[in-house]
Amino acid sequence: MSANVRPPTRDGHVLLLLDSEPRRRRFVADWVSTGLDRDEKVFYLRPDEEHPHESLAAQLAEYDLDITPALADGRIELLPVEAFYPSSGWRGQVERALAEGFPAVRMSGEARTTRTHLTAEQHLAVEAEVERLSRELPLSALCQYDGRRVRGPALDEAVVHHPMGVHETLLRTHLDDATLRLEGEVDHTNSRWLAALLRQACAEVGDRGTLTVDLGDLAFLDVSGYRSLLLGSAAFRQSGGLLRLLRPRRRVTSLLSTLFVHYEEGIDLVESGT
Amino acid sequence: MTVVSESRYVHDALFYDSTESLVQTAMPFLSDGIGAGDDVILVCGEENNAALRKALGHDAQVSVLPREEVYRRAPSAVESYRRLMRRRVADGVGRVRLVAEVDFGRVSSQWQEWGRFEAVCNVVLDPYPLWSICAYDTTALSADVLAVGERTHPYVRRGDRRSRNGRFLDPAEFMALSAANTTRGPAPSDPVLSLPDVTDLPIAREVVRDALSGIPSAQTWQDDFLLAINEVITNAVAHGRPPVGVELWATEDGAVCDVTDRGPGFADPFAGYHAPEGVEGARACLGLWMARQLSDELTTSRSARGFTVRLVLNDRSSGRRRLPL
Repeated sequence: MSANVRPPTRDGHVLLLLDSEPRRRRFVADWVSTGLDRDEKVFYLRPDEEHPHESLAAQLAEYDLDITPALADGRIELLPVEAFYPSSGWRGQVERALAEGFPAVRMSGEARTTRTHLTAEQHLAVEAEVERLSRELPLSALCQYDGRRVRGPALDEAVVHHPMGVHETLLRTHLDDATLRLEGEVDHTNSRWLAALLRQACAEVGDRGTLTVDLGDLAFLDVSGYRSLLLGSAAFRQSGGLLRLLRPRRRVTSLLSTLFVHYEEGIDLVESGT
Repeated sequence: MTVVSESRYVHDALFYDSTESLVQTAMPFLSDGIGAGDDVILVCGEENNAALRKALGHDAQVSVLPREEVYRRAPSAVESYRRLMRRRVADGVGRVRLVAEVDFGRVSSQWQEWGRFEAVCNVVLDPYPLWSICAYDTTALSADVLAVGERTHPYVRRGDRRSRNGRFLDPAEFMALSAANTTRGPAPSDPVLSLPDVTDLPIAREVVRDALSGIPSAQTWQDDFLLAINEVITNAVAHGRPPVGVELWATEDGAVCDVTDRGPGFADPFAGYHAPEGVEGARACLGLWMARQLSDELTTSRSARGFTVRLVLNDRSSGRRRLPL
């Protein structure tokens, strides 16, 4: 372990949902690199055996990340699918790595690799366990779904299991301490899952609580996105919860005020400087 | 005098040929309202507002609203009146009496749009205790505009006579006729953007944004117009049939955008005029409502190419962020 190690921090349990392979690889390279910089242990689901040329090292080397030394000294461990999903769950793996002196643990893999190994129900059970562990232990998990294939209710379900963060081509979200930060753009292509995510975030805040949605980095919001904000928080607001929309940019403010968001029950619009 | 329901919208047209005749015809209506404890509002031209105000006496409780603000865009004006009535009802006001003069503009497309405004008011404002008189100056307005007044008001007033209007058309019928007769100027010849087959909404939006930013006058309105275009493209992609085409032209006054798909389009002549409200409203035609709010004209047509929604943005209306009432 290096002497000037950064304090262990967590990216949390994050859903990566990109529709471009180069973008996915770039994101994974950054994510792995961050872990190595922090001296964290990285467990990675070995890429599909049918595509050996797609080794992780080769993928990340395209983005100037050489993981060969980390593979050699065990900071990165590539696990076959059976070992990546042990029947005893992930707690043991994480605790062993922490006992070895790693300040935190990262785990990631492509969901397509698991399709032949786990049923959909088993996969969701793993997601639920990882979500629990990531809140309890210094564990960051990056779940890579194919944004070109996962749609509709399946996508809603995937999002609900990753309330801490979703990284999609158009929109990135991060939930921390009752604040949901939105960065990018919301339109008809992603508003549906935003509503699902918002419902989950509201549920975590609980009845009569306040959920802040930080819009400061949201460059575009269309009507379907507004609809998601309204419908995704409807039950929460009806139960006495408050949805605080924080510091929207000018063009988002324009949409919100045209739609009279300030008249909606349980919504508080806090513009910049106020 | 015809018995008037106190709980529903009553919509009269008043035809006058001088300020004096307007005052003479409108005064009993306004005085009765004040006597009955109704809220009285004037939204006329400056000279007529002043004359009516003077005739009522300066102690009279009358609100005067800025006509040029209220009548900037037809869908916004409908929404302004609806919001005003909601607030008045919530405040316990029994009935509102209004004398107003629509600004029909000088070009054909403008007065046709304001004609639709008059028809739509009959539907959207129907649940509210509003009695309005729309004043038409027979010496200044064209025969076409005066005909619009006759076809969109269930009651007409001339001199001291108020009567049921035999020429009144059912609002849906008026809207259908208006759509069929709408004069659409030819699109300017060279589009600044032509997308024959939109399949990716974010990419299309990015391309439209770039094209709008290349229009010199667009700085003050490009965000709003982009949102309007985005909503219409979204509707076409989600509910229409491919291919979805987009063409954008720069004009002297702003921009024109056509969005065409192969589907049948929407049939409801009032689509996008009913204001969305609360959770239920959010499920309805919110995108079209928004597109109407953020553009000066939204018209539809059917051709061999399919169903086209045309959005027009004029500089003169840009820059407004909130409804005036």
